Amino acid sequence: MLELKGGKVKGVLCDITGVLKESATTADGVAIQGSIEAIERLRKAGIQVKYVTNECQCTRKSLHQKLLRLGFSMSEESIMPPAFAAREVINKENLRPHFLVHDNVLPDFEGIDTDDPNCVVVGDAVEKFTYDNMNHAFRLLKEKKCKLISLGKGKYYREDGQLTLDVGPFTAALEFASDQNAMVCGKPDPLFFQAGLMSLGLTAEEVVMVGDDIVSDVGGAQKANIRGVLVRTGKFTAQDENHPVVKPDLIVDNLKQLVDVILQQ
Amino acid sequence: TVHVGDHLIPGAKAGIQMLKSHGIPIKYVTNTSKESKSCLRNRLCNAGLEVQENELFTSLTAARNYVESLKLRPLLMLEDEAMKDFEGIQTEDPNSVVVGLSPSNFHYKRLNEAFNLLKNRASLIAINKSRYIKTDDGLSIGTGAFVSTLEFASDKKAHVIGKPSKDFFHLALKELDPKLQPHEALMVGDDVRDDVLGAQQAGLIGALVKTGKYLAGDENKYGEPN
Repeated sequence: MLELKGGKVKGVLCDITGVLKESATTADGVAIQGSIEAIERLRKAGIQVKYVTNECQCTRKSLHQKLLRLGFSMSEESIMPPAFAAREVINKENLRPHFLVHDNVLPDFEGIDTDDPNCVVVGDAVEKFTYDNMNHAFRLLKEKKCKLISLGKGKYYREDGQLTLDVGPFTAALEFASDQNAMVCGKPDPLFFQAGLMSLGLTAEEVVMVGDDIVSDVGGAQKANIRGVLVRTGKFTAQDENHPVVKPDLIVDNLKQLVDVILQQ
Repeated sequence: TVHVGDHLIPGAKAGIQMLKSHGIPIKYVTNTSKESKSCLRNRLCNAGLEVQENELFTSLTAARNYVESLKLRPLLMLEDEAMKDFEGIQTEDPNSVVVGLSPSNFHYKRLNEAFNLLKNRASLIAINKSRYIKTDDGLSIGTGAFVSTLEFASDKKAHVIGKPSKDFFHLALKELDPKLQPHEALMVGDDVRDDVLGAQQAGLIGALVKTGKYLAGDENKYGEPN
């Protein structure tokens, strides 16, 4: 009998890729079985949801459109991607970024001054991760003493059924070469989760985070004192059930099973 | 220390000739992994320094010996010029990943291929873990950065063959003169961490040169050069 300890759940921070849908290189991906109905059941029960995603291969608007086409319904504003968190930091600290990100996310950074950069923003750039582009970023960090911002720091995700490198390994390369630590905008940074709580207008005890990444989603949430639930969809592998450091508050087969548990409270 | 690209560093040739005229044996120990021993020897000779192949001890040859001794089948992330040092090694159905300085391999698709092997139980071997190197047009991101990429993604630690690994210095000394004790040997290099600190931790005396990749202030970063 699955049970979630702690206070009654009034709000959910929900990961997107691996929880709502599986990623694919073509089209919009595939909705995970039971996820569309699960979100609808939460809505009917008056439980608020914010989507804390590290997705940075497209704009928030485009991501929202994909989810609508798959059959989900949520407002665009309920989606919280790392690009928006990074924008806030860039504005607050008067940064002029050099971007090593996917071309399709650049519109979310429109209007930002990029002349004579004093910071490097690295995201899930995929094919743009070439030696020359990495070298250019490294030289800015080392010689121009630029600050390094990483949009999330995930190790990998599942796409077309295969595990594929995320932004984290490339951030690690730049950190190592330039001997500095990146500021992470996105999971697993606790500030990102706290922004989620503020957006929900709830306390940590009233919320649960659900994701497929044991370190970024579950571990990150727990560091912000939020209960972390791991799903067995997405990038989950059997090894995650016995992670040496992170012990999820609950492990479920999928989002539908978590919603069953929440609605039983 | 001795050369950058195809050019000798001023004073290097004179310094080496002075050592030789005093009967002090020299071993050139290098982490270079973008070309084979014979390529490197040719480069140095063309630059004006007479060097025999047996005076060179490279991390590539040390890596080949390591792979052979463990009967590993490597996915080789090496430039064409370096592959020569791995001739005869079985590479089909790889169960290990060997990473050297290889810009033509350091792109998303290839790194993803290596990552998937590592996630499936392959072991990770780094020819060296240098942060950056000095090239003709400035500093360039090094092998170590891309080793970090694979370590971070796979949660595996690389076995590092070259400097600053203790084994590397001891193996080089053994080849130079099996009777030599570490404290009787001097290591000279331009990388304060990989050359000087690495040598000191292996028991040798470490001297830092202010040429090559040296940047002002390096001498205060890690311990103290002798």
